[in-house]
Amino acid sequence: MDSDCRHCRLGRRDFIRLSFGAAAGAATFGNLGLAWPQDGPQGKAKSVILLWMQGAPSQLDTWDLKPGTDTGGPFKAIDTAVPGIQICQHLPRVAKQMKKLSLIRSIHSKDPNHDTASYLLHTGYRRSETVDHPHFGSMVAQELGMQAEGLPGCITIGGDDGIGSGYLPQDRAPFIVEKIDNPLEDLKLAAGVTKFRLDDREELLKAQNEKFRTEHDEKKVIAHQKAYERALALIRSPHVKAFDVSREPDETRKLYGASAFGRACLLARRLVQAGTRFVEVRFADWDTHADNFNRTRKLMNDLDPGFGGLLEDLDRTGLLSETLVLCMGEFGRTPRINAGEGRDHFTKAWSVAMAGGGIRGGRVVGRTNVDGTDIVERPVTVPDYYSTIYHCLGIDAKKQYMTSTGRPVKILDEGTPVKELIS
Amino acid sequence: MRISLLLVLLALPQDTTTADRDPVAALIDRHIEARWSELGIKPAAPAGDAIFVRRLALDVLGRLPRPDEVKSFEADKDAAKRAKLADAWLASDEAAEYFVDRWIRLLFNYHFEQADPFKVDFPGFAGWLKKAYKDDLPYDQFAAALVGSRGEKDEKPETNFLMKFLDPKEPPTELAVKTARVFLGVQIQCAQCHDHPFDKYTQEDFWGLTAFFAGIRQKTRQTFDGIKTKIMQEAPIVRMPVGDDKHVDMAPRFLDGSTPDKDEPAGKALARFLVGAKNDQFGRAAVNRFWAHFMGRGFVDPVDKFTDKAKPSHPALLSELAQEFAKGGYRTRRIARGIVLSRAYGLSSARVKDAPDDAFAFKPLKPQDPPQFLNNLVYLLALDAFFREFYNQFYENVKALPGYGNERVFRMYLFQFVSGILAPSGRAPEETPYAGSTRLALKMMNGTDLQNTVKVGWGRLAEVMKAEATPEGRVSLMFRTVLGRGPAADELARYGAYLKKKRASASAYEDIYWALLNSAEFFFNH
Repeated sequence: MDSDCRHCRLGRRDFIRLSFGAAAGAATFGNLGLAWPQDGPQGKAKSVILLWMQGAPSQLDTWDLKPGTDTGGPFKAIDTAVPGIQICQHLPRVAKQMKKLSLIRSIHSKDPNHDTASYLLHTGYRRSETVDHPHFGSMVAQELGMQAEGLPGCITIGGDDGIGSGYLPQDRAPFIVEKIDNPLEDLKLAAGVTKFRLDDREELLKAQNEKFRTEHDEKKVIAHQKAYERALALIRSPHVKAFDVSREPDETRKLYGASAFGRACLLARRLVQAGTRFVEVRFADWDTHADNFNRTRKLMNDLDPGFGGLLEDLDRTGLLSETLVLCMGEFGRTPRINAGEGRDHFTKAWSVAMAGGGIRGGRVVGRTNVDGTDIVERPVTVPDYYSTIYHCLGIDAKKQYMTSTGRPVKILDEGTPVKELIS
Repeated sequence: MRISLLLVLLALPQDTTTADRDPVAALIDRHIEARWSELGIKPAAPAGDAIFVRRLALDVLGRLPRPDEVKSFEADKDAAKRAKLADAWLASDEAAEYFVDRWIRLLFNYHFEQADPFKVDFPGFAGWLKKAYKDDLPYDQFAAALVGSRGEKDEKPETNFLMKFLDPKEPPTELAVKTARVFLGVQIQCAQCHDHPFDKYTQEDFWGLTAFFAGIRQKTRQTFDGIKTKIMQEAPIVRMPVGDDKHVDMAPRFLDGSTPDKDEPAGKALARFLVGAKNDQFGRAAVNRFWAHFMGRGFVDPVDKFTDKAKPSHPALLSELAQEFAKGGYRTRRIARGIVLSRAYGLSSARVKDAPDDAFAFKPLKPQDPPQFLNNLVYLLALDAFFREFYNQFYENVKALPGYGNERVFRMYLFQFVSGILAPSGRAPEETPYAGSTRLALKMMNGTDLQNTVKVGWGRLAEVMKAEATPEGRVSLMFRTVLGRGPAADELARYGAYLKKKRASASAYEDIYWALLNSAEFFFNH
């Protein structure tokens, strides 16, 4: 396994191609340096839904069960819709959707810190002093273009990752919907403010800012004003009703389960339908250093209908083939069960799940050993995982951007797509 | 001849003509002006009294100046009025409170967990910070107390800094990261898992620093005076992870390789190494931080990026200021006074063409920080009164928790709200709130909570409506309240016309208040 720390290696010798705005064309196999049969157009995915399992979910209790071993814990493995693939007994709805879903059980990394690992899993890069990398949702919004009037291209539900648009334009930055339960907060016009009054106010504000803007022709001031323009565009957007989950029929809402997480998954589907490129649903807290089994089971009770319902609903509405769905955390958890009935951080071998958007469902890539302590087959790095994601989206990962200090950065500087998963 | 001399005297900034020029200010001016000459640039014009007062109020008191404060300052004919105002405000209680807010943010990021009240005595800690400010506690002693104090928690409230980050299951890495970041201006967190990829710190440096905080325990016992908690430190050995499953024991070792003397307590040793750090890094990081606070950016920017490759904008000034700081017994107030009385601090913020930002040929703009923003929203929108109800529900949960002061918790609650507007959570406090967030604009302009307070019958706006009877009077007072200046003739005309069109309705006045509140001029500290 390679122990080189790569975040200071930037290929300045490469031919620099500047590129801002405009949707990317389909990736070509030539660029990826691979040759395998092309059985369909590239760039199937048009948007991404990321289900972020904050705190790092235990792979041995969710996707890669080892019942009957020292490390297995109390949960049983159940059959899924795909013969030969078993997952945790507490994910029965997801198990039924297994034909749409694939697992990588052999992903590995090196960083066991929540903060920095989260950065890696959200950007494909390790933290760097010289480059502020964009959230990969911002990159998707940038490369695929923002298509829905007023609607942000990258949206995060349930909190902040602390990662912005990096060297990409500010309007690609994740728009954060803090409260899963009240996503419309701040988006609908305040009481007593009609759209006419808002127009009046906008005019007053424009006039008020003019002199200051002229005297202070600064990036910060311009950014401040542009933020207001975007906020107004969002309030006035025809797509703002996508945030209103109550517009969905009862039976659809029931499909996702009764939890806030489930509602957020439904919101994600609506936002994708409305035209946003990337929605992240943050689901906490999987960091089960103690009482792992009770806590993980409770989380799965919400994850199962939310994730299962999402897959079912995306399929039903015809969106699944164009929507890449990812379920992951920042690393895995130890096979060893500690004194507090918990599992600690584990980077050597863990799992992620992928569905839709050009991913071949019903497959498992990689294998861990009997007790889950090591990978025995097909190790996959986080950059490999990212390459797969960008491939599905038709994004050329080798493309370079320039940072504000004139530094060229590739979308990804390493990694090979997992060909077993690409259709 | 006499007339031209008079004109010259009137044109000069007031304080430079007096004999007792602040020596620190003079030092600063010398270096700053030298670089202007070097670069061949002419600085911006002086900013004028109203703007000076606004800056000083924000930077020292953490709030907008009140209309009468601006008025009386403008009317004051005393040539030394800036120095007098600076002295009065620097020594004030309000300045101390703002200092507490800033340091709680710096040290804890306002992060407040459910478990905290059992570990951290926030009111006690805030009290210690406040006293440190009021006494102008030498900065070296301040740092030494924070990293090195051990003993009875109620006698040494500074130990709450240690307590906040103590976790029996995790090594005290956060304390090492914080200490390096705050007091040395360096970021070492990347060296936690492997040698720092782009700076000189190794993994052993990281864990060597962490070891100074290892073995710290909280011991609670019953005494005649009630329950007492002692913060003590047992063997300071920390287990450094190597690879995925191996560990190596690390004893305290400072970033330059120094280790404690035999029998020297780890905390004392760390304090000694910190203050004595090579290249006067402790002093330089400190004055750089103070400069950045007042001037919008440091000589090294951001203030926690003092890497070997970092090139200070004014290396000689940075070193000399640090020396002055040490010579003056590490007293912060002298340095602050010198900065606010310097020529650079008093310049207009209107950009000078072709002048680089770090030449300070014009005053850099900066957004308000969370405490300033909170204080201003409380003043302008009576935000605290508005939130009291919601807070009481929240407080129901924490009321039962030990030793918890009502007002301090309420303030933390308000901070979470305000911080949530200004900057996304998860950002380190060094990263100043930035303009350009869609969410910020959305919340300021249409956020339910804030909009419910922009009402003629509420808060400061209600006072304005009562204090003045005419449209002109009300608009004027609104300007002086929100922006710290009176309206220009064209602004008065514009708003007059608007009020006329809307028949001077309540909502029209609210619209004007709203526009001022959402303006760039309000948002920025200019």
